[in-house]
Amino acid sequence: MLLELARQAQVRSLAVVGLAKNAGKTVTLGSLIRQAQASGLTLGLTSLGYDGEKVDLLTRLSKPRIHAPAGTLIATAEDTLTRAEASLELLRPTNFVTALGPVMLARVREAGTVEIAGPDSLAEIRAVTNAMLDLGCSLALVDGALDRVGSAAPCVTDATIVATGATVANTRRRILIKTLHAVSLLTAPLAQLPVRQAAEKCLESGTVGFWQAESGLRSSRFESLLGQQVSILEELQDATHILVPGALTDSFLHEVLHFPWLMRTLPVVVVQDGTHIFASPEVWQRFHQRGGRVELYEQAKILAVTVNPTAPTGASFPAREFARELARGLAPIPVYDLFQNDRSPVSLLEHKG
Amino acid sequence: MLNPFLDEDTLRLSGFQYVLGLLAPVSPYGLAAKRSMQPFTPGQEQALSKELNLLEDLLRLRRTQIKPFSVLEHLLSQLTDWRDALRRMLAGAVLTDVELFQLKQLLYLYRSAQTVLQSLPLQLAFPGLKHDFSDLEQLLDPEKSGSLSFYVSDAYSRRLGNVRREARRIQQKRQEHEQEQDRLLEQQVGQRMLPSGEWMISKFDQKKRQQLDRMPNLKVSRETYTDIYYERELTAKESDWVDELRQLKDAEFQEEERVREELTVAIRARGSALNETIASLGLLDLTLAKVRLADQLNCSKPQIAELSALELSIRGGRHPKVEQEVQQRSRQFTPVSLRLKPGVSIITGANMGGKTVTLRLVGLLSAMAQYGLLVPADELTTALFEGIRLIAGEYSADTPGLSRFGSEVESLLDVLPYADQACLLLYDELASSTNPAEGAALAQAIIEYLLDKRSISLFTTHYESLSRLEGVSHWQVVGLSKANQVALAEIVTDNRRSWRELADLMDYNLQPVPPGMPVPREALRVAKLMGMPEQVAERAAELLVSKADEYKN
Repeated sequence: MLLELARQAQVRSLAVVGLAKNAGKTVTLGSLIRQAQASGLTLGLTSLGYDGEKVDLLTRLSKPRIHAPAGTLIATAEDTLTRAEASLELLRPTNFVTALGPVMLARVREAGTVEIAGPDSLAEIRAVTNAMLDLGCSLALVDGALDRVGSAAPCVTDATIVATGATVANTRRRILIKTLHAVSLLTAPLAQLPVRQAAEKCLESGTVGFWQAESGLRSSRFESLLGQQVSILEELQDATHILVPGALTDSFLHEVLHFPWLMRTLPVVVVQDGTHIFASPEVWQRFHQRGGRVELYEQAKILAVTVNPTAPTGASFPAREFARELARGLAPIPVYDLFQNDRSPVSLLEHKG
Repeated sequence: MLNPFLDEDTLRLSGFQYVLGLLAPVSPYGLAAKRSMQPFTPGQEQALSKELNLLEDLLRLRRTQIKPFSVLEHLLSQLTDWRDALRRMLAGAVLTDVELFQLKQLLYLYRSAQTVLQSLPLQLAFPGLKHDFSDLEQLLDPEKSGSLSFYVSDAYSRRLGNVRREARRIQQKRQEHEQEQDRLLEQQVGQRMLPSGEWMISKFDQKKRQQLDRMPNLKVSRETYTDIYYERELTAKESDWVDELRQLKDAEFQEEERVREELTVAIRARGSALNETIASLGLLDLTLAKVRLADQLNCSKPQIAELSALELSIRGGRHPKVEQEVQQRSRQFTPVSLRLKPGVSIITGANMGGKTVTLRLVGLLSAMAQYGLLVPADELTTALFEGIRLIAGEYSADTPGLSRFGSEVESLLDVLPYADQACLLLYDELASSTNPAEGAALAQAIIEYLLDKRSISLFTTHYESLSRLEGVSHWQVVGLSKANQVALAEIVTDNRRSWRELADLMDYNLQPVPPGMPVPREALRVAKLMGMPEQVAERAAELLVSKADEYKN
């Protein structure tokens, strides 16, 4: 069971992120909530995202509506409270303001559906998940997104569940690649100590840095890689690591591959976390095949991947086969097809009979 | 009467707008109080003095014990804006859960603030801070838990408790029944139910499809190209329960709303007291913000003189904005001291000698005092003015097409009719943007007009003729006249030295000058010191001597 996984890993806060709309995030959340209720655990619920995706702009309703059992803690904007079917005890205000009003902490007293529209920034998410844990929930769930800059819920929670499904791409193969790619970005290797320390400095100062074992950190005047690729490579000298405070994009990785003199000792690129990498699967793989390496300052822990093999538009795949393919590609990360079975992960072996 | 008390230009140019920006209440009520701040007007001297005395006492207290002040500030900063709720309530609306919750928080913060205020060795006479709302606090805590959360709990209504209990009971029964039925059906279908509550059958499994199609308690829920999904029909019992639950939910909401209405009625009865308390919390917040500002700017209490003795005297006055800019360049602001009486005073002196800063400082400090703020000066004595105007002719938002001279004339037309009232009129280089002969003549005529008027008028000027007028008090910037000549010479020989060094040698102090003293001529010197080409500087000096008559104004 997903919830059991979280408990075994001693996870206190858990993000659920969808790789696309209708990737099955709501089903995953619902499944966790049901499992928690069955085992008598109290959950905390909130969401992170920008208004466009958090709130339906036409109806100004937040989505999705979730059935919350009595005892559940929620952190949500004031406007959503009046639309809750559940009876709520209002516990504590926060200073975090959203398009739907300030975020409020509340406890579900009589079960029913609630709308969740949490705060907009990572620091605020961290604050409300901590507040909910203080108020006594055993696990704080964050409904997040992964399809946009800055929506990096995996970096403020202890662990993450990635929801993928038929809506992520048009073909089965493409969905598979996109999912494996997203997971590999989030779980790229962690930078080790001396480099990590230097990376922290660069993240603080917001400037690109160069690192080399003997001479340590050499900072630069560049604030990001964007549009500065050639100048940055010119200043590389004998550095073995490039420490990047902002986004790492396709065009930089691509450019690096165009400098033959770099090929022998390709520099390691260090970024804050996987959500700061905006690389296509193709370039990412080419970079790695040539011996390139990207390291992270913060690595997300992927607890599981859930898969929704059907899309609302009608596209669907032979569900079991597809889920198994994905499970093989992602092993040892467990894959759950919650539509088929929410008790155990997809088996890697063919079913007999 | 000069209206408004300060116009846009004066507000901006004097730096009062900047100082208001530093005045930072922490609650929505304090911000509202700040927005409605009004100057004290002639006749309100005593009220103003009382206010200033309070600020001085609080400032002294804050400097000896900061703790109660930071606690108060923390409490005030947590206040949420309840004014909309109050308005809704007084208009007859029922308060929402969020509004009731906010009120509970507000009352708690208010009570905590009261405790701190009572511990202070001085009394704050805000009427709204005397109210006691323990009745409402009890009302909002029916379970007497002391918790700050709010919930329309069963303790408010027996019926509410019954409805909720019944709903829970049915829900429980329904779940048990559902599980039983699902289990039964799983056995009949011979296949496990999906987490979604469905059974998925391959479309190509004809036999199975026929079996399921025949089962009366199953129906098709959806299909894909390859599969078909079935779900269980609700039993008659379940349908009844669903209906019942819907009705109970309705009844629960209605009963909750009835409770909220009851609470609102009780709270509405204390509406005017709440209104007063909110206003007083705003004033308290604003007062504390004024004290913080006074501490930050190192202010002292201005003395308010009676109107009969109209005067303005400043000792050691500082202009916070200019002082900050000067300090950023690691230099010291030279405090300003001067004394002004009804009639006309002029300030003359070197270019870059701080005449304009002095003029702005006079406007700023008077405005601050009159708005009930302590002032950045060692001493300030002022009477209350009807209005303050700084006329610089360099800015006019209303008439963008107007030249500097044009906008000066406009301002004069606004101001001159009121010159015989107790106004403070500050003119920066009046009529200096037109030809010198006409400019000087116009300036002199205006000064003569103002000489016996009740207003205090202060001019900065380069026009020498103005200093010779009888009855005009004359202040002069010491400037470079006492500067170290060796150091000056050094700047001259190395004429790429910056004006910053010149600023170091400049003496910004003001000195009163006896009538008839000539205006110092330092413009050429300053230009030369700043690096004006030798040829130009020499030629100008030559012309000044040979054509002395022509350049006399």
